[in-house]
Amino acid sequence: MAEPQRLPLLEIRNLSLEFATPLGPVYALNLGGLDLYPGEVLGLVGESGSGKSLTASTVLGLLPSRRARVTSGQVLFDGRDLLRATPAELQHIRGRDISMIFQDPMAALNPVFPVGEPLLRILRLHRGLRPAEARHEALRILDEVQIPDPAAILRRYPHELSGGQRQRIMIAMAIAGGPRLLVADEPTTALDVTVQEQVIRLLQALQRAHGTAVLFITHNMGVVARLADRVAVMYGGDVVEVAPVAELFSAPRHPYSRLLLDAIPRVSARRERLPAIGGEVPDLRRRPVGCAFAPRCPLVTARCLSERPSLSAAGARQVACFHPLAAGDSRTEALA
Amino acid sequence: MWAYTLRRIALGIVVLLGLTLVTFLIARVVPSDPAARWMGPRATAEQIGAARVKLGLDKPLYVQYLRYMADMARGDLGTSIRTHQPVRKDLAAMLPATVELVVVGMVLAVLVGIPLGVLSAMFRDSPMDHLGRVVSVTSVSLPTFWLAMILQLVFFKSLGILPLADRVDSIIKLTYPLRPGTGFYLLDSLLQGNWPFFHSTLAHLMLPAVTLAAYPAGLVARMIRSSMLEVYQEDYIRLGRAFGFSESLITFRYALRNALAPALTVIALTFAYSLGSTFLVEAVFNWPGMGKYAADAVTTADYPAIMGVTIFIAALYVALNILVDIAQAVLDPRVQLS
Repeated sequence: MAEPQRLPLLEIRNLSLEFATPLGPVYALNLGGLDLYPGEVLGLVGESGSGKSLTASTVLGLLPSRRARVTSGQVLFDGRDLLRATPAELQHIRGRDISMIFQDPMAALNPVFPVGEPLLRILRLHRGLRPAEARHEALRILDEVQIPDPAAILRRYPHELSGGQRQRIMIAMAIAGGPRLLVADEPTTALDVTVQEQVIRLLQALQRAHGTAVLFITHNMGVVARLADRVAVMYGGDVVEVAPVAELFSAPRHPYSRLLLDAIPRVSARRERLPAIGGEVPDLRRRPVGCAFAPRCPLVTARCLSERPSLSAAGARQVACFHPLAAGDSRTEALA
Repeated sequence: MWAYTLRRIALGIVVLLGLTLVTFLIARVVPSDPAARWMGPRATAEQIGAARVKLGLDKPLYVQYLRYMADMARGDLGTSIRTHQPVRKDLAAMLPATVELVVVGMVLAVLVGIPLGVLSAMFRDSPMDHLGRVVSVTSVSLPTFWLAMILQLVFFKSLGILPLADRVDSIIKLTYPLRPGTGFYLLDSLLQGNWPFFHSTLAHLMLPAVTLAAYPAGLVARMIRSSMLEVYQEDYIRLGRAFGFSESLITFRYALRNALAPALTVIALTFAYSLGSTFLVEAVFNWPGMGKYAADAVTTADYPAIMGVTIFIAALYVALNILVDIAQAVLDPRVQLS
């Protein structure tokens, strides 16, 4: 777990991102702040459209579309603002200091090249290895990600591999440069359940062995509970709560976190229906004035609609709410 | 890979067989008496009758077809009614001129079209892209004969730097004669070290080749641009950026290869199309090629010549298609599976 006195490896500050559309700008990200410490696994959770993946791409400076524009903010990696880095600086950082695991390995691997091609290129580009050394190192890494017969796999094309093997190749590429930060964008979502389990175990083992910091994006709470040290909950393009994983699960403080956790299906509790969060996801074409969750929040007050709560610290936890829940809070029952 | 190739070739042969049948039937049902044509305008009825027997036209249609096919299997495409020469010999004489012209034209088209398309995609919506759009749309829209004449006006009449027409300067042809060879003047003069002939041929090729290249170059540029833009959206290209690959590495090593497959089909088909439709270019530049031969054959109802040209071009189409299929399988290993 992160020690608070250490300096963060990654700091996101007041990050705003807009998409230009014919109907006017869409305010997709309005992120107050998020820190990631060296060696920790930070789970980033939230429903679809909350801005999780967008945050991940922005960290790497990869905007998803030509219409996307960062209007303000900083993404500090090791104290250096990635949003103001030159293309050459970014090329140097990407793949070496920060790397990324994509969601769908089938789409992320070029269909007309053997899977070994990009892996070897990363090793030559970021580790300065000669072709023979790169090949040797590639075989070692493939072995580390538990791919059988690495020499043969290097020459295979993506369509000749199974989904699990493709994701292992993806992971091999991500660790090849020896990164300090790994951004994993829903790395298990596109996989079969049994393969998901293997990939999670592999990621866990690799993270422990290398001490890499991981920004783990997912909507799967079970995966977060197993892998993450801390969890950041996103809603409407902002982080609403950050907490150590056990504390978030046992005592969420933001009403949205609470409702999100209640929506997880459990085998033990035989309920007729799963509880759903009332209302709709916010319309991002309007810049939110108050709390983004206010229209759907059972605990909403006049202040929530006019003023935006910022993420404030309370011990190891941070919550952006004027009326945070406390342990044994009587209102907790009202929410459920 | 071999099974795939053999399957493509077998399919090609079936297509060609069907084509010979259709061409043969059409040539026979047109209201023109080949025997009368053969004998010329002053022939008597007996002479025409004798010619009919000689040409085998008195036999039933299926016998004629089988005979034709048997001849073709031996490489005999029949005798031209107009020139009274074997069609094969006529084609062999005309073909190198056309092939040389079309090959040079297509090489030009590819050398201009691909970089233009790639740069337009790389610098999308920049002045480069707009310029590329104007150039390619213009070159696709210009009528061939008009472009040919404008080029002649500018480069021959006004600037006087390139010859007007013909394959080679007639004086060079007499003073530095070329020994018989492949019939491709560029190749022959190069092999024989006949530099004056080579230079003259090259200069004469310029204008017709540019005329012929204009359309495919524009087409290729547009195709490459749009498929590049599509490929740029793919996750595997974002992956390249996420791993710090430079933009030029991503474009030329990765994206271009993905974008080339669809453009390849267009390039090959325009190549085959150009071979069959060089008539206008050949007419303007007085080029002694196949287009001119085919046009003469059509106007004189010279059916063995028409069939010979048709089957030859069809065979070329089929062969090019097979080559494209194989090239695509090499470029994109997934193709073999489908």
